[in-house]
This record gives sequence, structure tokens and C-alpha cells, in this order.
Amino acid sequence: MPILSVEKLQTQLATSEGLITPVDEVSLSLKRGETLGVVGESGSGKSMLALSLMRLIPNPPGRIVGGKVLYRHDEADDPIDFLKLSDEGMRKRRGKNIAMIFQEPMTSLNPLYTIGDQIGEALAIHDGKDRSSIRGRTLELIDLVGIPDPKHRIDAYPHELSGGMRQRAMIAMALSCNPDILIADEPTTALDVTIQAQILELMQRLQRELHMAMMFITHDFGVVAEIADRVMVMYAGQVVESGTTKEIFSNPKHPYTQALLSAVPVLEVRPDRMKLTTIPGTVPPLSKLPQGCHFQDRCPKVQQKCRKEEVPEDPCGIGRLVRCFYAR
Amino acid sequence: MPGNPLVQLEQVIKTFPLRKGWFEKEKGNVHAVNGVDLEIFSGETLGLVGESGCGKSTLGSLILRLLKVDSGAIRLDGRDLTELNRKELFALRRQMQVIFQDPYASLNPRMTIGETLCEPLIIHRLGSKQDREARVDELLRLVGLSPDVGSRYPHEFSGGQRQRIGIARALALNPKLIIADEPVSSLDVSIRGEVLNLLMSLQERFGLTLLFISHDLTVVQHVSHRIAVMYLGKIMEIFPAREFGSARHPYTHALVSAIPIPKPEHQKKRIILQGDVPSPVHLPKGCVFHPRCPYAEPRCREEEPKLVSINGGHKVACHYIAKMPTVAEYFPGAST
Ligand SMILES: Nc1ncnc2c1ncn2[C@@H]1O[C@H](COP(=O)(O)OP(=O)(O)OP(=O)(O)O)[C@@H](O)[C@H]1O
Ligand SMILES: Nc1ncnc2c1ncn2[C@@H]1O[C@H](COP(=O)(O)OP(=O)(O)OP(=O)(O)O)[C@@H](O)[C@H]1O
Ligand code: SF4
Ligand SMILES: [Mg+2]
Ligand SMILES: [Mg+2]
Repeated sequence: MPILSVEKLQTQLATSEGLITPVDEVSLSLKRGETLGVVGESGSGKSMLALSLMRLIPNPPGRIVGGKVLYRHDEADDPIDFLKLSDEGMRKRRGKNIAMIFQEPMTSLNPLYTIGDQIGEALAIHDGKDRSSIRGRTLELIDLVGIPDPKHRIDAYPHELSGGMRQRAMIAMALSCNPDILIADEPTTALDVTIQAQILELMQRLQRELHMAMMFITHDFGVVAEIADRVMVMYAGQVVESGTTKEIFSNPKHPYTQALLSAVPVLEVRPDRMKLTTIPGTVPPLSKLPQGCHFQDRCPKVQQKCRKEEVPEDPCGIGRLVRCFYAR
Repeated sequence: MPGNPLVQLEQVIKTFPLRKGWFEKEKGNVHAVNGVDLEIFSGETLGLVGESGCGKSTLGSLILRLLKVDSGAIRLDGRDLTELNRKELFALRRQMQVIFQDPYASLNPRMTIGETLCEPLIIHRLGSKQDREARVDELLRLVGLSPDVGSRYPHEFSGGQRQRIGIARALALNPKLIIADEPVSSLDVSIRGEVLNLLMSLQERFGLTLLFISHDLTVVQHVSHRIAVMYLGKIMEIFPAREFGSARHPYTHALVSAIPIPKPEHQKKRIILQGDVPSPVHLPKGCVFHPRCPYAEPRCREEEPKLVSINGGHKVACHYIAKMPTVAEYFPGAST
């Protein structure tokens, strides 16, 4: 029973190059306790997807033009379509039902307020508690995300914290109202690997303890392999393949997934200076997508049909989403 | 390793006065590079890996003489760079070039690609106009671009293409040494490989010496002959890339075990380091790694370990290296 099911979500942006569709009929579902990894290269639409689910697409230039974002707290409840809520109605859902950790910590933390103030503010908006209980809960949250010495750090300004600590503060803010669904947009990309390892461990632990559904966005296949139960691969605004983590890594079907996985260098015990596998060409700009399959110009299997027809979600009848006419 | 050292660093130290921001109350110095001994051999790729702020770029800039050492010596072909006058320095610049991380920021947006590639030739007064034009065409071909792109501007190129142009510019003067500072960090995986392959093939073709700086050990591993691991301004370990499995400094372990592997079935032993990298303003006494080291003993807090050879070209700075496991032991099932 998914807590979130997204159906054919479509988001468009007016740009100087014309109207683009960075989220093109994306469907997905998320269960409690489950982590969905969303991988894709820069510009593939990952952040736009996340912001669409939160209904935080800046308008103008952006607009959600179609689809459903259905949320269901309990099995017995009727689903609520986030896209049909009023702005005020959606505001009440944010933080509580669905919360997000944004890609750039420094732009989402206000440099002029202490982290305690910022976590507390998130709490006050929803629960309207008195000051001392807010401070108590804030301390709990700071402790929960593993920031050492909470009593002291609660009064620290963002610039006084290291990158890893700031990311922990961001996580605390996102968790302040016990969300059911947590969207994490590249929460570790800006961090060093040893700090990334700490944050990944923290997020996995919190997700288990709080039994959240998590959507984890990254461009790093290593991170996905480590954290996700299921994986969705995006290319130029579309989901090109999805499946369990095992399916995606040991039996990828889409030529893009296959190419990408063989292009990712892997840490080896006995490395050899070797030519890396590459994918010819570059990602087409969303304003100049070819007709038919978005991957056609880089695909080793391309045929006439790929250049004419839009590719449906599973034309080969594989039983999961593999957007390719010639998937094997 | 074949050849003689092209570059030699001896006890190189570089500090910066602490920048005073609005909020900073602290006084002191940033210890960016902290007594580094290092050799780069002719024709090799030396990978320099370490986390943000450990001093990699500073070390690169010191070798390029864009920065001056506080103390210590840096020799190129046996000549001490720290003692050169301006004229000698100018001549020397021809032999050393740099490729930066951000191909967007490092190309002048108002210059055509041809002008950008020609500029170093003009500055060094090389060849006639025709010679220079021919050289620009040749450079573009070398990096896999068509010579007609010479009349176009940087914004017309993708990230990967711009990095190729950056490489062409670095090659313009036929340098001996190229310092590549995070050359693929801003590129997507699907185009990274091409740029790395290009660098490797050009290196072989022209016998270039490469210092390859990156925070990404996986990438470093694929392009390097030798790997130096840096932490808080120090080289902790240096070893031939092929002997990666026998690397054994605790910090190297921590790095290796922190790297997520794109194979879900792959279970690695994990050491999660606690805490953050200490501030380079107040360096820990003794071994700079001791506050985060799972093996630290009282001696580590007092006495600084020296970088010593444990096996041919493999050097480590750790008091207790004899009892440390090797990296291979973190890859159960790996066929070593
Ligand atoms: N405000 C905006 N105006 C115009 N185009 C935009 C805007 N924001 C995003 N885009 C475009 O929308 C597309 C999708 O962007 P998005 O940020 O979702 O990518 P992403 O997959 O998150 O990439 P990254 O890995 O770099 O974060 C890109 O082509 C981007 O250029
Ligand atoms: N011009 C400068 N003035 C003051 N401090 C500096 C200067 N340049 C570097 N530093 C400091 O010196 C230390 C080493 O910096 P450096 O840029 O060499 O690190 P790095 O290993 O290249 O890091 P990154 O991976 O983030 O590029 C850092 O603490 C940095 O803040
Ligand atoms: S010297 Fe001590 S603190 Fe440093 S790495 Fe070795 S065991 Fe750890
Ligand atoms: Mg993004
Ligand atoms: Mg640097």
C-alpha cells in the first residue's frame, strides 16, 4: 500500500529557448519504510520532480500541467491529490506529510538566524507550541541528527558549522514535524566522502526508526546501490527505467542504464590504467529534444522507429518500466 | 618508476594568514601545506587525492609558482624554483601548464576558441601568424575537435568540449608537466570517461608528466601510476596504483571504506570516521590524523610519524603501520 503514488506528473518551464518539460509524465510509488533512489545526470529533471511533489515549482516560469500526486496516510483513508489542494491546504501538508532536504544547504539555511531558531520556526508553524517546549524539541532534534553538544550548537549560526554539520541541521529541520515522506535532493553531493558516509548512515538509521518513505535523489550510482530499495533512472525529463536496486544493477535493460553503468568507474583492489567505457555524444538540451526516444542520438541500438514514435513505458513487455523499443 | 624525478619537493610548507570575515574573531594561520616531501617522475601520472581543504590545490599552485613557499624547496629538472627571478620564471612557465576544474570559468567568454589557444603562443612570441594558426588547428585535432570550431565562443560548447579546449590550451606550449586540478569533477559521468581517456592517450603520446589532483579516489585510481593520499597538509601514504590492495594507512582505509560501490551485492567493511576534519588553523599535535584514527595510541598524540618507505616505492606515515590491515582486506571476496 503506497503512501504516495504519482501518476503521469508533468511540469513545464518557460525558458528563453521555449517551453521545456523537465518532468515528463513521471509515475512512481513509495511505501513507508522504503527508499526510492532517483538517479540521473545533471539537468535530467530530478530537482524539478522533487519540487513538483512539494508543489514548490516557482511560477512563473514553471507550472505543473498534468498528473496526480496522491497521498494516503492510512490504508482506510481516501487519497488526497496534492495538486488539487489550495495553496494554504498544501502549506499545511508540507513538513508534516512530506518534507524535503534541498540541494544547496547554504541557500536554504538563513545565515542571519541560529540553527536553533530555524529548526524551532519549522516547529512553531505547525504545532504552535510555547517557547520552552519548542526549545526542548529542537534540542532533541539536534541530538537526533548527531550534532555533538546540542546545548551549545543550538545557538550557532550556519557559518559556524562545518558542511557536514549544516547538512545535519538541514535534516533536523526536515524531520521537525515527523514527516511521512522525506525527499532528499542530493543531500551528500557537496560533502567529502568520509562525511557522506556519516550522513548516509544517519539517514538510513532515521528512516528505519521513524518508518518514513524516502525519495533519495543523486547522480552517484554508488550511493544508490548503498541506500535504495528501488531505483528510477531519469534521462532528459523522463524515467527511462525503474526496478528494484538488484534489477537495475544486475540486469539493466535500457541502453542508457547499461551504458551508464559500464561508464561508472569502480574502485578496484588491483586497478589498471585502462580506457574507460564512454557514452558518445551529450545529453540533448530539453529545448531541442528529438522526436521519439530522447536517447536516440547516443544509443547503440537505435532504429527508424525510435526516431518516429514516442516510447511508451514498457513496450517490450518486460514487466517494469523500461522505456525502449528494443530493450533486452 | 621509470625516469628521473621531474619535480622534487622537500619539506614544503605553506601557510596563509587567516582571512578575517565579519564574524571571525580568531587570529592565526591556515596551515595549508605542512612539510611535504614528494617526487613526480618524468612521464608518470601522480594522483593526489584527499578531502576538501587538505591542501591539494595549494600544493599544485606552489609547484606552478603561482604561490611562494614559506620554506622548503621545489625543484624542476633539478633547478630550485623558489630561487628564480622573473625572467627565468617566465621561461619556466612554458614547461608547466594547468587544467582547472571548471571549464566554464577558466575560458574567457569574449575570446574565440582560436584566440584562446593562440594566446599563449603570442605571449611567448612563438612562430609566425601562419605557424600559430596551423598550431591551433593541430591542437584542436589532438583533442578530438574539428578545426572549424576555432571561430566559435566558449558558450557554444558543452562541458566536456570545454574541458577538451582546456586541455588543448594546456598543450599549446608543449609543456613537460601538466597539473590537472579536479579536471573532471564538474562533468557528468557519461562524459567524464572521454576526457580521462583523452588525457591518458595524450600523455602517452607526448610523454607528459601529470599531477592529477582529485578528491575522487576511484577516478584517481584509473588514471594514475602512483597515488599520494593527503590529509591536513601532509602526505599520509604514497604507493604504486597497481599495489592499491596493499595500501595500509588508517586514513587510506577510511577513504576506501567510505566510497560507495555501485554494486548492491558488494558488502564492504565500513569504518565510519567520527567527527570532522580538524581545522587547519589548529593542527593536532603528533599525528594529524590521531583525533579521528580508530587505532590511535598515546604516542600518536605526541610524536609525529615520518613518511617512511615500507616496501620499495610504498611509503607510509604511521607509527603502527606494522599492525595495520591492508586495503584488500576491506574487499572480502576480491581476487587479490
Ligand atoms: N528556473 C529555471 N529556468 C529555466 N530552466 C530551468 C530552471 N530550473 C531548471 N531549469 C531546467 O530544467 C531542467 C531540469 O533541471 P533540474 O534542476 O531538475 O535538473 P537536475 O536533474 O536536478 O540536475 P542536477 O543534477 O544538476 O541538480 C534543466 O534543463 C534546467 O536547465
Ligand atoms: N589564498 C588563500 N588564503 C587563505 N587561505 C587559503 C587560501 N588558499 C587556500 N586556503 C586554505 O588552505 C587550505 C587548503 O586549501 P586548498 O584549496 O589547497 O585545498 P584543496 O585540497 O584543494 O581543497 P578542495 O578539494 O576543496 O579544492 C584550506 O583550509 C583553505 O581554506
Ligand atoms: S600514527 Fe597513530 S593516529 Fe596516526 S594513523 Fe597511525 S595509528 Fe592512527
Ligand atoms: Mg538537482
Ligand atoms: Mg582544490
